[in-house]
Amino acid sequence: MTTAASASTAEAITSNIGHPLPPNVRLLPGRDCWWVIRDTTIARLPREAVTSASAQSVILPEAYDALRQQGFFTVRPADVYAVTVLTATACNLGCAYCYQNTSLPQEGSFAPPRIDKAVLTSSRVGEVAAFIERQMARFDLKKSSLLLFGGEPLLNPSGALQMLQAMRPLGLADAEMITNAVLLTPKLATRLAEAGLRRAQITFDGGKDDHDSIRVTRNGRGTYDTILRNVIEGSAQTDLHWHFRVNISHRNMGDLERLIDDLGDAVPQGRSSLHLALIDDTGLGYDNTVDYSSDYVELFTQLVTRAVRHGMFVPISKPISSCPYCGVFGGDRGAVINADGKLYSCWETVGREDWIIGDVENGYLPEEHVRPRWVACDYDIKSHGTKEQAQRFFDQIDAVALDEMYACHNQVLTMR
Amino acid sequence: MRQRPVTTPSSQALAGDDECGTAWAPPVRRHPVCLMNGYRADDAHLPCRPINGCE
Repeated sequence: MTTAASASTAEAITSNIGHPLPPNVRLLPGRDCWWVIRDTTIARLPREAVTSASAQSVILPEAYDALRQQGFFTVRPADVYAVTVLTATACNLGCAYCYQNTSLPQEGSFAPPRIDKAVLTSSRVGEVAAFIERQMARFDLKKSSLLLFGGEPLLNPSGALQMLQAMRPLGLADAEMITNAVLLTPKLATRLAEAGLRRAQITFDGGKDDHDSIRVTRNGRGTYDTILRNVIEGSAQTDLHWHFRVNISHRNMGDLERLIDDLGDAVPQGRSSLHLALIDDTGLGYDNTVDYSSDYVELFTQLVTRAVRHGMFVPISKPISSCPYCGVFGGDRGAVINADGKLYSCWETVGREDWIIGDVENGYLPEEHVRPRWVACDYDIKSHGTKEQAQRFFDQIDAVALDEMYACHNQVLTMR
Repeated sequence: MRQRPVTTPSSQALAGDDECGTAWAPPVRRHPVCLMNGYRADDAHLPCRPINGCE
């Protein structure tokens, strides 16, 4: 511990011994331990390391010192420049709640109006890569990560493949695609994996019946079987990892356990992860009565437990301030780039004229223009509860996820 | 029905420290620091062994 940064960290910790934890550290009661969390760094402490004599829990000095010695509190500087690139803003599906819709679909329609269409062309790929290279040089970052996004990115597969190839000379350390997977045939999955894609993030909207009434093509057809088949075949023919997002509202509570079972059976153990998400009303008027109450904590923890026992990884929640795109003002750690080359601060403003903050040819606009447009995702959602309720909700679910994944198991877990 | 704002009030710029989901970030599979054994780090400590694959 010789650097100035380390010294200041140690000083801050010393002053916190015997006092409540710093605001960026979470302390969660586990089944037989305490979980201590700072961003994505997790530690497990024995029960006796924490005292709850006062109103707030306090880590005892010996345990605090042990954490410090393990580097738990050391903040490492970012070394990866993270970019989200949309290859196409159009979508082959018509999910009514999508934040890229500009209004709810009309009665009987499965094709809600969306943000303006744009496609990532070959020439634009070069411009995007040149912008990324300039930004990485400016912030002295040697590694990059790419998230291919849309719309549906596979409406422009050549754009996705070209973008992956263009990033290879830029220290590409990780590449993911958020796709609905309807077009993710095994052949295309193989080509993408060969080009450097490591992971596909795919959303389900409940068990088959619910999913097929919500996640529909733009002429109203269900997509569950097609998506699941593509995951199974893509998993067999590539080394891709799969991150399943399950969007939850009061409309799809019917058969979520069956969905988890289907997902668990589709991918070998250790190659998939799960994120349960509440559907937000982003201003469209798409309601969701599911909230942060204890009933839903119980449901979510049951689903998380089931997923872990299928061999899925369940990442814990993170503060949105850690987001590489919006978490630091001005794009120092990453960028969100539309298919037309325009820059935005987050995914939810992409394609909206009023939220443009620059473009890949000319870089970011002056600060006075960017600052009022610098927002994080969820900047305008209808809340599911108070901030305190949200914190309790995520804390309880995360504690169960950690217990299930890491603790208390001296024998192989099996499904009951 | 609420309308999407055309400008953002400064109070909403950067949503701040709300816990949120993880779909925007890669799922980080890092072994927790296990200090169950007298506050000594012990990767071999059986109950801390991850069952779902650390990267």
